[in-house]
Amino acid sequence: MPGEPKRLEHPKSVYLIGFIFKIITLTVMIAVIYQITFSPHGPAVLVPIQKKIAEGQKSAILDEVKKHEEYEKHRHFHNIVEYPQLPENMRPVCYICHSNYPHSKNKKVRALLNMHTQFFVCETCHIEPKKGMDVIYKWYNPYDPNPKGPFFGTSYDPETGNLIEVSDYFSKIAPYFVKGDKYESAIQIQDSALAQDYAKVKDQLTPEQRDNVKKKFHINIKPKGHECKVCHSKKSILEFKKLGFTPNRTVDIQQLNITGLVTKYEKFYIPNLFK
Amino acid sequence: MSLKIALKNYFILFLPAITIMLFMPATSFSADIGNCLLCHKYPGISRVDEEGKLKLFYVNEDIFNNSVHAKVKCDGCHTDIKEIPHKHAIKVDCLVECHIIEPASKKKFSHKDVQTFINKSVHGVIDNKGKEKKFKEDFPTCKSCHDNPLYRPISFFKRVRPGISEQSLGRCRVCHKSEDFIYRSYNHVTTRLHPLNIAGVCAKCHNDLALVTRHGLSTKAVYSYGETFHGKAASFLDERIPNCLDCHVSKGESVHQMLTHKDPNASTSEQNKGKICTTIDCHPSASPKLAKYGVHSEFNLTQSPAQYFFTVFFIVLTGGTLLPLMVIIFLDIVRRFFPNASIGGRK
Ligand code: HEC
Ligand code: HEC
Ligand code: HEC
Ligand code: HEC
Ligand code: HEC
Ligand code: HEC
Ligand code: HEC
Ligand code: HEC
Repeated sequence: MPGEPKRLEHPKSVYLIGFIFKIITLTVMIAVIYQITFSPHGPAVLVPIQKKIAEGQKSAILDEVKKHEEYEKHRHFHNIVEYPQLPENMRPVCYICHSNYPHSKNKKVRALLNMHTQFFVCETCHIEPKKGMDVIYKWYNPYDPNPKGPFFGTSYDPETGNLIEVSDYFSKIAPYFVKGDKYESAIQIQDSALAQDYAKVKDQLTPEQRDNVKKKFHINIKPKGHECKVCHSKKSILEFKKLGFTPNRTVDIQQLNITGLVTKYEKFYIPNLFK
Repeated sequence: MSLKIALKNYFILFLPAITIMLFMPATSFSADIGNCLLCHKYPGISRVDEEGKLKLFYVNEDIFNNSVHAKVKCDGCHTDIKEIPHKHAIKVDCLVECHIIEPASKKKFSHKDVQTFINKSVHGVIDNKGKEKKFKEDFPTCKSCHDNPLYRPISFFKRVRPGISEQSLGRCRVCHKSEDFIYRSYNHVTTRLHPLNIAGVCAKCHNDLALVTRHGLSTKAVYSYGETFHGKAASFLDERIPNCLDCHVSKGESVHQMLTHKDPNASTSEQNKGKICTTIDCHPSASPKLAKYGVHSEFNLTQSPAQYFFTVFFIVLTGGTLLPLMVIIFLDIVRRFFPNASIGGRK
């Protein structure tokens, strides 16, 4: 009897079968444990503890915002489609603190101004011109240094009369400073040094320090953006042709050609807007 | 709403839009919508209001044109907007008479009848003695149940499946010439929500525990539907699976006329519910006793004692067999890794 232990001399296949059976039993076992602890079909013995933990992490603000978003989708009645969004670090720095809907003060135009953030970066309207430096406007795409288009809203589909469908969701018109024959981007994105540094330390700053930093982000930013007629007129700062707008689309943008708008312009934001 | 159903919904919500665009004939017309879309076509036209709530103002034209309301002009519903730029708009009244003429009666069309059905149903605010029910803000209006409905056609030609049946369209073309008319008529008649989407509509209230308790209902109905066989089968995208309406609406009645199961006229009342199961589409050869099956049973001792004990029995059975087995396997593993181990130096 003493000597080599016999029970290790099984053929290899036995180990394999044993292994498979163990996996199966283990799976079923986990299922049973789940059934007893968390499943709504069982006595749910651990659910009270789970709830307590969840309560600790609950945020009333987050809950309310989510609830409201859900509610708004239905209140809106017309069906909502999701659009692709840039990842956090690819967005311009403004988005650390502002959203796509930053305008709220001027009741008549707030929603229309927000609408423009879909095809402009903030600086396109908010840039403070630097002395002696020209600004030109080009399409800017965070994924592509030389975006080719076709870009959103630049031409009509001849069959339907609607704006053409585009696959480029991220290009926006952005300002560039002209330096000799080079263009220098007038915007900063969130992986710039300043932005990354800010993200690192923002929790440690006092309110006063934070205010100072805020000012840093607002250098070259004017508090009120361009007026409508700066773009929606024949003397537009945007070179529509170079930006790829077709002639008929350009005319429509320059004139915003609908009867109601033109005759009632004086009620609108800025007199002479549509002349 | 249970997460599972919520996620599913999310997916299915966008599915019709995509499939519809695939089925759209190239000639599909675009409603003349009075230039409202000049501004409202941009997804960015939204804002945060004074209370910090996000308001969306955009309308996606493709999706609007594939909704049942595509032929109604914007100002058919938003009747107060007469000039542009416009002032703050008032809420839309779904029962307004619109410019569309109802072909059978040749009168201007309105949804007023739907409201009369709702008033007569369990969802009406006034009870049958003419008194206002308690918690009247809990009761649904058109918009609590309906977003602008999208076409979601169903083919019945050989097999029930989502989508348009080309064979059926061929039959329409025997007499009708306008492709647009054919396309819309087909959609008008066959469009149906997916069972899970219907459940999703009801979930807003019928999964809200506070509401369910306030009104003395015995179950979070959508949750329990999802837990039982019907709801689970519906998750696999089969059109034949009964949804809430198949059981709660008497055959041939308006889908809006649901009654409480305590009402003897209800399809779900004690006397009538046997007939639900045995309809020709479901379990035609079953005995009416099949209706004893708990369609809304939860794992809850007071609500469904039989199911409760049944489930507990199986937990104990499986656990009871497997636990000892696990112990044995564990000991076996220990022995394999330490073939010569012994307790207390025993040889
Ligand atoms: C660190 C956070 C932060 C960043 C980054 C930031 N802002 Fe602001 N911004 C604020 C706050 C807070 C206010 C409002 C307080 C105030 O009125 O001074 C503000 C106000 C503004 C205003 C209105 C100014 C006024 O005086 O009413 C404009 C315009 C503006 N931001 C544009 C921008 C743009 C464009 C960018 C990106 C280049 C940007 N902001 C980046 C925090 C930020
Ligand atoms: C179409 C041009 C345009 C674009 C693009 C634009 N703005 Fe503005 N913005 C304006 C104008 C015009 C005003 C002044 C509104 C008024 O009359 O009060 C303004 C005002 C503001 C204000 C302060 C007033 C308010 O309504 O609360 C903030 C903050 C602001 N902009 C932030 C931004 C940010 C952030 C972006 C980029 C996401 C941006 N803007 C993009 C035109 C623009
Ligand atoms: C920086 C230039 C710029 C400024 C400032 C600007 N817009 Fe625009 N706006 C545009 C461009 C470019 C478009 C077309 C964008 C596209 O479709 O790609 C546009 C589109 C529009 C449209 C939709 C027109 C259509 O045919 O689709 C309306 C309405 C409009 N703007 C109103 C306004 C109003 C009101 C203001 C002032 C509060 C304003 N815009 C300020 C450049 C500007
Ligand atoms: C010149 C651009 C423009 C046109 C054209 C336009 N709208 Fe609007 N509409 C807006 C803006 C901007 C808002 C958001 C106002 C605000 O910020 O409260 C809005 C808001 C709305 C609202 C929300 C209700 C409210 O006021 O809070 C409705 C409904 C509406 N529009 C319907 C229509 C209809 C229907 C038409 C066509 C007959 C139309 N709009 C044409 C710009 C426009
Ligand atoms: C079948 C009727 C109907 C038609 C047709 C219709 N709408 Fe609406 N619309 C509604 C309802 C209902 C709401 C929900 C808000 C309410 O109750 O007023 C709504 C909401 C809106 C809102 C958001 C209002 C807000 O307060 O947030 C806008 C913007 C809007 N519609 C624009 C349009 C435009 C543009 C068209 C034409 C393409 C159009 N609608 C066609 C019924 C309709
Ligand atoms: C309790 C929720 C509920 C309420 C409240 C409600 N509906 Fe419905 N309605 C439904 C459901 C569910 C359907 C069936 C949809 C399907 O099967 O595609 C439906 C169908 C319809 C249909 C037929 C379209 C079809 O596809 O079968 C119309 C028209 C309709 N509802 C209009 C209204 C109007 C108008 C009101 C307000 C007076 C209203 N509904 C209130 C749930 C509701
Ligand atoms: C806006 C909230 C709301 C929505 C949405 C809703 N219901 Fe209800 N439902 C109620 C309320 C409240 C009651 C209780 C009425 C009472 O107290 O008499 C009720 C009662 C019922 C009852 C009667 C229960 C009984 O006593 O037997 C049925 C059946 C029912 N709902 C089905 C549905 C279906 C199916 C849907 C989805 C198409 C739906 N409900 C959507 C609020 C809602
Ligand atoms: C297979 C048929 C069937 C389906 C599917 C079904 N129900 Fe029921 N429901 C019944 C019957 C039968 C009753 C009556 C009570 C009973 O017998 O359990 C009932 C009862 C109810 C009650 C009242 C519960 C109470 O006792 O207070 C509500 C609320 C309800 N159902 C809502 C829904 C909703 C919402 C859906 C869709 C998610 C749905 N039902 C799907 C058959 C069904």
